[in-house]
Amino acid sequence: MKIIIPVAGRGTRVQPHTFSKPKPLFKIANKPAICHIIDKLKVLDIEEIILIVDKFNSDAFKEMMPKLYPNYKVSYVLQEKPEGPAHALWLTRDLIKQGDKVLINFCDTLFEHDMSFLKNLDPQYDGLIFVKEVEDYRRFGVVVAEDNIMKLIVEKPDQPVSKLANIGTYFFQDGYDLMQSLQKMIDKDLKVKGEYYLPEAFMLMIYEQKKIFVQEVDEWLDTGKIETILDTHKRILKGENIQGENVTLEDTKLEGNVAIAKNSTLKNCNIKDSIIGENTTLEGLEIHDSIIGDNVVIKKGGKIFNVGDKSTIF
Amino acid sequence: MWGISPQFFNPMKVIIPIAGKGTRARPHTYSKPKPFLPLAGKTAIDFLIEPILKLHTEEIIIVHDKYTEDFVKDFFIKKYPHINIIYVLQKDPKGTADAIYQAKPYINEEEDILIAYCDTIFKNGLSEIIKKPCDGVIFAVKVKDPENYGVLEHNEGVITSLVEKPKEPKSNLANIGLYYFKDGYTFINKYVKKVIDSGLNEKGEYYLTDAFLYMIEDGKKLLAEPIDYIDTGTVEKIIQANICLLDGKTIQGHNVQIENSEIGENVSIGNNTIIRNSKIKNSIIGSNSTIDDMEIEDSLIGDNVKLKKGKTFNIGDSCCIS
Repeated sequence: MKIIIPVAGRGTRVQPHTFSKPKPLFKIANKPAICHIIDKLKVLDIEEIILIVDKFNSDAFKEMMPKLYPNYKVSYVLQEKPEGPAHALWLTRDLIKQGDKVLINFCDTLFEHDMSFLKNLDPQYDGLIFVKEVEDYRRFGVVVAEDNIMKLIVEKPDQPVSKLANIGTYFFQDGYDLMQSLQKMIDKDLKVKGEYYLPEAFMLMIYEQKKIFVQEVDEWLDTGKIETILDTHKRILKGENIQGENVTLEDTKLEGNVAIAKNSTLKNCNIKDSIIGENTTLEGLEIHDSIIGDNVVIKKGGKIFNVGDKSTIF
Repeated sequence: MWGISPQFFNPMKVIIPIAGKGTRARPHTYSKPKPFLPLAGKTAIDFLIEPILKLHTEEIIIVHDKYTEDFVKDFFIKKYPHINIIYVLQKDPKGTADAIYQAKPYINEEEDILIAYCDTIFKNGLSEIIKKPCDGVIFAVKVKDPENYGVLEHNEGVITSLVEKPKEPKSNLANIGLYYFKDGYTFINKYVKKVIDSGLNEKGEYYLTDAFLYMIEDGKKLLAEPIDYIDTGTVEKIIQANICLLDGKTIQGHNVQIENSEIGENVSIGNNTIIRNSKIKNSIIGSNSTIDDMEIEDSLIGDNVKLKKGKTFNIGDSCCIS
C-alpha cells in the first residue's frame, strides 16, 4: 500500500503555531498530527509514504520523517504553488504504478477506524471514500450514495441531498485509475475557481463505471483550526492528562485533558483542557482551552512581553 | 537614478542579503524576516534603506532565500515602488560569501558596491568616508568586549587582518556587516570567487571575511572606519534600538486608539492598534493588536496580538512573558 499525504499549505487558521512548524507536525496528545494518521495506517503494510510538500515546509518534513519513521520509505513531491488538492495528488503520478494500492489522507483529517478491512476489500469495488454523517451538511462536501456506492459528490449543498461528509480519506485498489482520471481533469482543464478539486476527478471515474464504496468512519477528528484542534485533543485524551519525559510539576493541578510535552516545568498552575508544548516554563497560571507552544516562558504578573504575531490571551 | 548629486563617485550598487532564520529574534522571525520587524514607527529595514538612498545608488540587489522571498518582494513593491531592485535567490544557506556571489551577474566593471547586512542601522552619512583613497572600507564599531566579535586588526586605520572572536584581541574595532568596495567587479569576480573556489570551510559555509583576507594578501588598502551604529540583532537590542531612535518620544501609526491608558516614553505603536486601561513604556507594539488592562515595559509585541487578563491562551513557540 502506498500512502499519499498532501501536507503543503501555510496553515493560516492554526497561527501562531504554524508560523514555526507545519500544521501536520503540530503535536496533539504529545504526538504530531501526521503520526496519528500514519499510526492508524500501519496495519496496511505500508510500502511507501508520499508527502506532497511545499517550498516552505519541505525541509521540516525531510528532517522529521526519518526520525519519526526510520523504517518507512518516504518520498517527497514538491508542490510549487497551490493549484488545488487534485492538482497536488496529480503531482505524485510518476510514483504510482499500475496495480499500486493507494490510500490518500488529507492532513486535517484524523480518524478512528480499524483500517485492516481495506486489505481484503471486495475486488468489485475500485475504490472507497470515507465519510462521516454530519448535521450541518451545508459546510461540507457531501457524498450521495446508492447501495453504498458513490453517485455524486456535492460541495456545500443548500439542500440536504446527503449528510455524509467527505472527510478527506480515500482508498483505491489501483491508484493508477485515479491518476488517469486526474490527468483527464488536467487535460480538460476542469478548474473550479482557479483550482483543481477532487470531486471532478471522482465524477470522471464514476462516468467510467468505476465503483467507489462509501464507508462511514467510527470517528472523525478535524485539526483544521485552533478550536477543532482543542476539540480533537479532548476527544483523544478522554479526560486524561498526559506528560512527556522529564516534565516537572510543582504545586500544580491538572484538571483533565491536559497534554504537556517533554522537558516542561509548571509551578503553581491550574490547567484544564489545554496543550502545553516542550521546554516550556509556566508559573502561576490558571488556564483552560489553551494552546501554548514550545520554548515558551510565562510568569504571572510579568511585565516584559516578547510575544509574536497572532498570539492571544483573553 | 536618485540621491545627492554625485561628483566623486562611480555609480554604486548596493547588495543587501536578507536570508536566514533570524533565530535570535524569535518568536517574531517565525512570521517575518528580521529586517521587517517594527521599529520606531517604521521597520528596521527602513533605517537601512533611507541612508542608502541618499548615496549615489544606482540599484539595490537583494539576496533572499526561499523563506524570505515572498515577504521581501511584497514589502519593497508596496513601500519602495520607485526603487530599482533586483531580487536574487540564494538557494542554500552556504554562508555570507555565497550570498554575495549570487549578485555576480549584476555587478559590472567600474562599479562601486556597498554591502549592507541588515542587523545594522547607521546614523551618519557614509558619503564622506567612501571618498577617502582606498580600495575598500570595512565599517566598524568600537566595542568593550571585542573577544565576542570579528575584530579588525589595523595599522593606523589600514586593516592588517580580521580575526573572528580572538582570545587576545589586538583592537576594539568590531566588524558590523557594512562594507564598501571601490571596484565591486574585481571584489566579486576575483576575491569572493577565490573563497568559493577554495571550497566550503569546516562549518560547511563560505565566509565573506575570507575575501577581505585575500585582498589584504594582495596588498589592497582596506580601511577600518568606526561609525555610529545601532545593533538590531536580537529582541533585546531591537527594544534598545527603539529607545535610542525614539529618544524619549512616543510614536503611533494610523488609526491607533488609546483609552484610559498611560503611554510612557519610548513607545512605538503600529497601525490600527487599540490600547485600553494599560500602562506601557519602552516598548514596541505591532499593528492590528489589542492590549487591554496590561502593564507592559521593555517589550516587543507583534501584529494581530490580543492581550487581556484572561484564562484562554493561544501562545506560539518561543514567546516569553516574565
